[in-house]
Amino acid sequence: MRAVCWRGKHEVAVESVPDPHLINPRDAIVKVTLTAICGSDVHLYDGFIPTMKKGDILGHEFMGEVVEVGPEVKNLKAGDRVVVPFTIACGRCFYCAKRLWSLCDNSNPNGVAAEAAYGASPSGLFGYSHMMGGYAGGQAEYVRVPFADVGPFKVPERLSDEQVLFLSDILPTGWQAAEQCGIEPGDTVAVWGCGPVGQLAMLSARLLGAERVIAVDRVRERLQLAHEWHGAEMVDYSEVDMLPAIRDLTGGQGPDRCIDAVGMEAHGYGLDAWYDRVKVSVKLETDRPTALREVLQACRKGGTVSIPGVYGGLLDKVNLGAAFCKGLTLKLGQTHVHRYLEPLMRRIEAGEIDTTRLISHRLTLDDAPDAYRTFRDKEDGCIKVVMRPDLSRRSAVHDLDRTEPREPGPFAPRAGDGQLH
Amino acid sequence: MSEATSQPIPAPSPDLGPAALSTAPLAKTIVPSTALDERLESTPRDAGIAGRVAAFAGAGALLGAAARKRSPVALAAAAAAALPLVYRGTTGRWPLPGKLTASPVIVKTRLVVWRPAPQVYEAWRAFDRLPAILRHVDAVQVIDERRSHWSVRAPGGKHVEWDAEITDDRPGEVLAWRSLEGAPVQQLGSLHFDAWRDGGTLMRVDLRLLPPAGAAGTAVAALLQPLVEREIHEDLRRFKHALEAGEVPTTEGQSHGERGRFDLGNPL
Repeated sequence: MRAVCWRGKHEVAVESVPDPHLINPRDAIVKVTLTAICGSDVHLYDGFIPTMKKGDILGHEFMGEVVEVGPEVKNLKAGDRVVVPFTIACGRCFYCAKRLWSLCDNSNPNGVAAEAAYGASPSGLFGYSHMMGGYAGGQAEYVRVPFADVGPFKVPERLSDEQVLFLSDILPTGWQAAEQCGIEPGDTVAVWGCGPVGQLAMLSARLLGAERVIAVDRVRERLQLAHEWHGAEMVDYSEVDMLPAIRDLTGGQGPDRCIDAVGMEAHGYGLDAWYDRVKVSVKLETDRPTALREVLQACRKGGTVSIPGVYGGLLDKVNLGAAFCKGLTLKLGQTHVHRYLEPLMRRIEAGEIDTTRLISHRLTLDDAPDAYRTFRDKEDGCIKVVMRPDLSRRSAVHDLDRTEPREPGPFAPRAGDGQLH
Repeated sequence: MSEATSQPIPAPSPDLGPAALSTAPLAKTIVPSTALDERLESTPRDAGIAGRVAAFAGAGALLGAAARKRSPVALAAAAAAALPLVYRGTTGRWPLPGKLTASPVIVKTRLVVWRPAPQVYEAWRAFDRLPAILRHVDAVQVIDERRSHWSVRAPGGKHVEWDAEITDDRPGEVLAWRSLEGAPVQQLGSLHFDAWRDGGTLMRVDLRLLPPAGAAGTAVAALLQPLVEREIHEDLRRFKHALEAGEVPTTEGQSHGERGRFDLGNPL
């Protein structure tokens, strides 16, 4: 089969690899019908995540059709159409029993390494470094899914792949980010980073009752999308001094809830951003926490800071004193995807949530090497890339036109409300 | 050893330990207890953090002084003099010969399994099924109710085999053992199954290893101690996975693209 493989920093390639097979009794093999590139894949692409190996198959946002199940998988059969959570959970441990699925005790084969780095091991993840399990990912024609009796979520035929794909990660991630804010009536929620997770966090914040939403980014079309889609007030930090601007918008007291949907590779224009760039470049720091510093500084007293953005290790000059003095609540961690599948699918079915609006690029697996770069650089209006593994590049435009008649073509923005310009 | 196989297991008794064993019927198959037990149960005299830092500082000062002289002879002499200091800094002990320093290497690890103690005990007590679960245990042959033969992969992939004898066996509570004569690394070990919150079990491994070759062996073993501890901990994790999830998570045999020249073998 063809699979998108990590070759090193700034290099991915589509390689021909053996088809996956069942290894454990609770495995299933899924034929991938649609997969996406996640913002956190960019951290792999940029070499920010340790314990990657040349040849690792990438991808943790995918869905498809079950083609084979192991003897212990009783709830799935060949032909079932499923979305697969990016966090792998056994469903039978202390953490799974508490519905803390992304903290599963039993799904990371390399848990000892994670224990050494973090004191304990989180769950295994698809396509996200060996410390997180080393599982082959879903940017491929087929994928092996461990603990398939717990993770894969059946979706009805009446919903298209594009409507449900993001249940695998970014929709639950955006939702959890907003939910754990504990939004109260009248609250203002500010979201740093208007990429896919930021957009869905804003959407979720609205559904959870936020009165006002503030979007912080420097990519004009992403801010514009947040404004049009969620009625967000825009703070373009390439043009204005961010913290005073946010203070002005919030009557001087700061947003009630702040969401850092940026994570470890933040950009910035201040002295601290350069400090991080230098330290990271000589391996004296693992992350560039500009956005985290800003949310801690901006948030109002007694507010909540929610962090769906990925952090990997040791951060410098983070003002925990600000968090302490203002009595902030910090909520962070990988998404407990399994928790949100059913309720979010019901909202999709009811028409409350339409995530297809995020998709800016409809491509094939063969396009992955270019697509990673385009997405990383936020060029070409790129917000979210989805890829069809069953198509090769030559036939892509034609076939996509035929099978998704609503779409004008792979590179064109969607008609109507998805317009970015 | 087979002539001793029909000995009955004494009834579990709380005071049954290595000392009690020396008078048990199987005593003659066991390593004469006194000297070895003393050494196994002795506590290594550690230099402590301050002592270790001082040792390293001393080694550094010696080498620094020699380096300033720019003479290869002075440097070689300083290196020879610094070696025991580096040893002390690393292991916490002086590299003295013989009984003085051949002290046991202590390995401890703890892990909670979210299953009741009797079930955890039963699963572990089925020794011959352990190799299918544990990565570093290649084979276990149960010789009789008390004795078994273990074949284990030590750090560096080295195979180590020995006969072990159970010295305490209380279902759902504790399993203790010792190595029999001929073991390359003498050991005393115990695995406690303590009831834990929410119906879980704390697995508590305490192991004392006495390597061969006196001080030299101890020095090597002291350096290997973290690796041994990591291996045992990893295998305990695998045991927990098997018990809780019904299988051990793995990626062995899965597909991948072309590997780089330098990352064959264990990914971590």
